[in-house]
Parts: sequence; structure tokens; C-alpha cells
Amino acid sequence: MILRLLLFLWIAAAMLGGFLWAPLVTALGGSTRVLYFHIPSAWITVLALGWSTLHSVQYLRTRRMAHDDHAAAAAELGVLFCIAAAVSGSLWAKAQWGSYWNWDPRETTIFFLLLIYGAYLALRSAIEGEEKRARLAAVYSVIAFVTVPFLIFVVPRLYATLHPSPILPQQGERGAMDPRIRICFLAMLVGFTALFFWILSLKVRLVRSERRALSESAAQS
Amino acid sequence: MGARAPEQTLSGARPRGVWNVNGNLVVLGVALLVWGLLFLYLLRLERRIRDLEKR
Repeated sequence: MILRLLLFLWIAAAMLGGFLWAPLVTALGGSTRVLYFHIPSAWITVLALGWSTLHSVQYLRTRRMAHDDHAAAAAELGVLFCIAAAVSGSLWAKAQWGSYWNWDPRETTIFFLLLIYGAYLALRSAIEGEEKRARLAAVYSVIAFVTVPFLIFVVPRLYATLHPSPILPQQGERGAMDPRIRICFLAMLVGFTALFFWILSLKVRLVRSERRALSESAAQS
Repeated sequence: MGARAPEQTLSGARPRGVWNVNGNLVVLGVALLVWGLLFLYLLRLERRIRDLEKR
């Protein structure tokens, strides 16, 4: 409980710091604050999809359902945070570029990522039988994750994009972050990561409880 | 919650001492509210899952 409360205070403090303490980037104005939400959401997307793939590989190796539970829950959260990153990025694009959606390379690749993982969730819901679903979803997840580094890190660098560089410039370099913005931003990254693992553990525990209840009711009948 | 309106002349409409709602503070308030509600929801969900696991 104490850890949960600490997480609540941590993220609330990072929000307050981002709005009341950290300065705005002159070129971005008020839309600077989107970065405290948008980049952590994008980071959690990559983390969640990577986590899902890791457990898919583990499932294929060991055939333990616990790995499939983690893979499915992480993929769902990855899609959720990907939508959050797309929506916050779209609001930022409206403020900076004058339009919500421009088919910029980064917007296009995030759209493809949503389609690929939307298909993963559709595949899971379409297959009956736990073992078969877990096996096919794990194979799909491994193949799908091959596209993630390509779509997130390679394609946006191959084409001209208006999207700001994803690399954080060091102090003294051109475009370097103000130290106060950097502190609030890194605090949000840490807070989002902790929040992700908390929600993931809840989702996995819920799925296991449901499975146990189902098997108990099947044994009784 | 709000920020003091910038001082203006009589012809500029806003009288001194009037407090206007600052858009950034509204966004901050909404963000904190949403985070608080999500946190309470997650705590409640965790309690329910714990009850389910005990059964």
C-alpha cells in the first residue's frame, strides 16, 4: 500500500512540477507539457510490446500458461498506451503543425503498429481453446515484434519528418532540455513504468483467478 | 485556482483584481483529477482481485 501511495504522489508531483516549476520551451509554448505524457506513453508502448514478445518466446519454450497470461496482458496494455501516445501526439500536432493528422512518417508508422497489434488482439479473441490460442498468438507476437524496431526507430529516420528528434540532446548541445524539464520528464518516465507493471500484475492476477474459478466450476459440474 | 488578470487600462475592459481561470491550471487540474480517479479505481480493483484470490 505504501508503494502504491508513493507512486500516486510521485506522478502527481511530476505533473505539478511539469506545470508549475519547469519552464516552457520557447518554440513550443504551452504544448511543451504534452511531452510529459506523450513520450512516457510511447516508451511504455515499446516496453509492453517487448515484454509481450519476451513472454511469447518463453511460452513457446516452456508451454506454461503463465507466460501466455503475461504476453496477452502486456500486448493489451501496449495497444492502450499506443493509442494514448497517438492521441496526445495528435493534440500536439494540432498545436504545432495546425492539423491533428498529417500522415507524417511517425504518425503513419504508429498507425501501422496499431493495426498489427489490433490484429493480434483480434486473433486471440477469434481462437477457441486455450492451448491453441496461446501457441498461435505467441508465434504471431514474435513475428509482429520484428516490425516494432523497424517502424519506431528505422522508418522515421529514413524519411524527412517534422517530428522532433527522439534522442535527448545532452546539456550544451543544440536543443538541450532545461534541467527542470528533464527532471520532470524523467520522473514521469519512471512513474509510467511503475504504473505499467502495477496494471500488468493486476491484469495477470485477474486472468489467473478467472481461469481457476472456471476450472473449479467445471470440476464441480 | 486561477491567475490574476494582467493589469489593463479602463478602456481595455478587465478591471483590476478580477481573477481569470488560467488554461494551463485547468489542464493540470483535470490531469490530477483523472490520475486520482484512475488510482482509486486501481486500488479498488486490486482489493476485489485479492478477495477473489482468497475465495
